[in-house]
Amino acid sequence: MRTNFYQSTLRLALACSMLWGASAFAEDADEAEAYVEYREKIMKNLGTQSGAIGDILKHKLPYGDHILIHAKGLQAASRLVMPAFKKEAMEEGGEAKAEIWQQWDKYVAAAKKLEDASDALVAAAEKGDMKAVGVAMREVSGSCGSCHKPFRIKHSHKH
Amino acid sequence: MSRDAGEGVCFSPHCIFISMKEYTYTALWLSCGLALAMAVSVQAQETGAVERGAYVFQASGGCSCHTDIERDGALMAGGRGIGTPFGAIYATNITPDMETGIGRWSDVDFIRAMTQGIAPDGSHYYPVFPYTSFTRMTERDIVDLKSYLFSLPAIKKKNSKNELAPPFSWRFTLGFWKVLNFEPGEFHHDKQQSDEWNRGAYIVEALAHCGECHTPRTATGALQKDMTYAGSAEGPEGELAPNITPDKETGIGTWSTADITWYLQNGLEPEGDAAEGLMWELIEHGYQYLSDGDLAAIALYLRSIEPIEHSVRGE
Repeated sequence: MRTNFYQSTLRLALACSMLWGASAFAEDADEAEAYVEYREKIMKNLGTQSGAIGDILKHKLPYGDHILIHAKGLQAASRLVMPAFKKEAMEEGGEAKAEIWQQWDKYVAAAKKLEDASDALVAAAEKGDMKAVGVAMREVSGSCGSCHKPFRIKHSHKH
Repeated sequence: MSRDAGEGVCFSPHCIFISMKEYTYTALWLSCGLALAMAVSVQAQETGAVERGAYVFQASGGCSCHTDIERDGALMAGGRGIGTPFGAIYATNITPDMETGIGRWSDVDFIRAMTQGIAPDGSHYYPVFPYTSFTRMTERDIVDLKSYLFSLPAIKKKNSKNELAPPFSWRFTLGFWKVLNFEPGEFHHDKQQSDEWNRGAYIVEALAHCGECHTPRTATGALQKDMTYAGSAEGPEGELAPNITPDKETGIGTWSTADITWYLQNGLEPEGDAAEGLMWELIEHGYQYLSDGDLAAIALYLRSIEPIEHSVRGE
C-alpha cells in the first residue's frame, strides 16, 4: 500500500516536472519566435526603404523629394539592427546564423558599416545630389550583402 | 652643271652623286618619320587595347575569383580558395609577374587558355576557370583583356596547391571530361535577332559567364544544359545562385528592364534585398561599370530566354 503511494507520488512529480519543462520550453520557443519576428520586421523595413529609393531612381518617378524621407527611415532602422540581435534567439528554419553571437564583434562592425552607409545616404539626399545618392545606395547595398554573407542562412532564393 | 630644271636633267657622275645623296637623306628622313608615326600608332593602339581590355575585364565581373578579397590580397594575385563539391581549387596569379604570374605568356598562350582551357605547358585547367564560357569570346576581346591584365602591377606570389582527392586531382582526366562536356567555339551572331539582343547574349554567355553559377551541374561538374540559367543550390563557394530565367514564380519574370539594370548597377533587388557574396563582388568590381546600352542589352536577352520553373533551395 505504502509502495503504491510512493509510486503514485513519484509519477505525479515526474508528470508535473515534465509538464513544467514542456511549458517552459514552449515559453522559450514563443519568446524566441517573438524576437525573430521583431528582427524580421526591422530587416523588412530596411528592404522597403531601399526598394522605395530604388523605385524612384530607376523608374524616374516624380518623387525625388521622398528620397530624403526614405533615407532617414533607413538610417533610423539601421540603428536598430545591432541592439535587436543582442539577445541570442534563434528559431528552427530561421535565417539568423549562430555566428552572429559567436563572432559578436565582427557582427557589430558589420552593423556599424550599415549605419555609416545610411548616414552617407542621408547626407547625399539632403544635398539633393542624385548621383551621390546612387553611390551611397551602392554602399548601403554592399554593407547589407557583406553582413548577410557570414550571418544569414539563405534557405531558398527566389528573385 | 647646273641642275636647273629649265635646263633638263643632268646625268654627269657628280650630279648623280649629289642626287643620290639627297635621295638618301630624304629616304632617311622619311623612314624616321614613318617609324615615329608607326611607334605613335602602336602606342595609341596599345593604349586603346588597355582601355578596351579594362571594359572586358569589368564585363567579366572584374575577374573577382583571382583576388583574395577576404584576406586583402593584391589585385589578380590569386590565392583565393574556390569551394567546389570536389574540393578547394585555388585561383591563380594572373598578374604580369614573370616568375609566378602570366608575365611570360604570349597572346597565343592566353587565347589558348581562355578558349580551350589549356595552360602553356599543355596541361588542362579545371572548369572552375570558366573557359567553357570564355571560349565564346572574340579573339580581340581576349587579347585586349590580356593587354589590360599586363598593365596591372606584377605581384610575386606563388600559386597555392589545390585540395582535391584522386581522381579529381589527376589533371589528365580533364581531357576526357572536355571530350564529353566542352564545346569550344566563338559566339555566333543570331541573324534573326537584333544587334542589341546579340550584344546582350554575347555578354551574358561569354564575358559575364552567368551560366557558370546560375546553371545546376551534373555529378561530374558539367553544366546541365536543359536547365541553363535556372539556378543552382551548389553555386561557387557553396552559395545559392538564383534562377535568372524569366519564370514569374521562381525566376526574374516579374523584373522589368529597369529592375535588372538597377540590380546590376547597385546589387539591390526590386524588394530591397541585397546581392551578397560572389555576386556582390562581380557587381562591385565589374558589372556596375557597364554602359547603359550594355546593361539594357543584358536585360533584353535575359527577358527573352525560355522561362524554367525551378526553385533553388539550400539548407
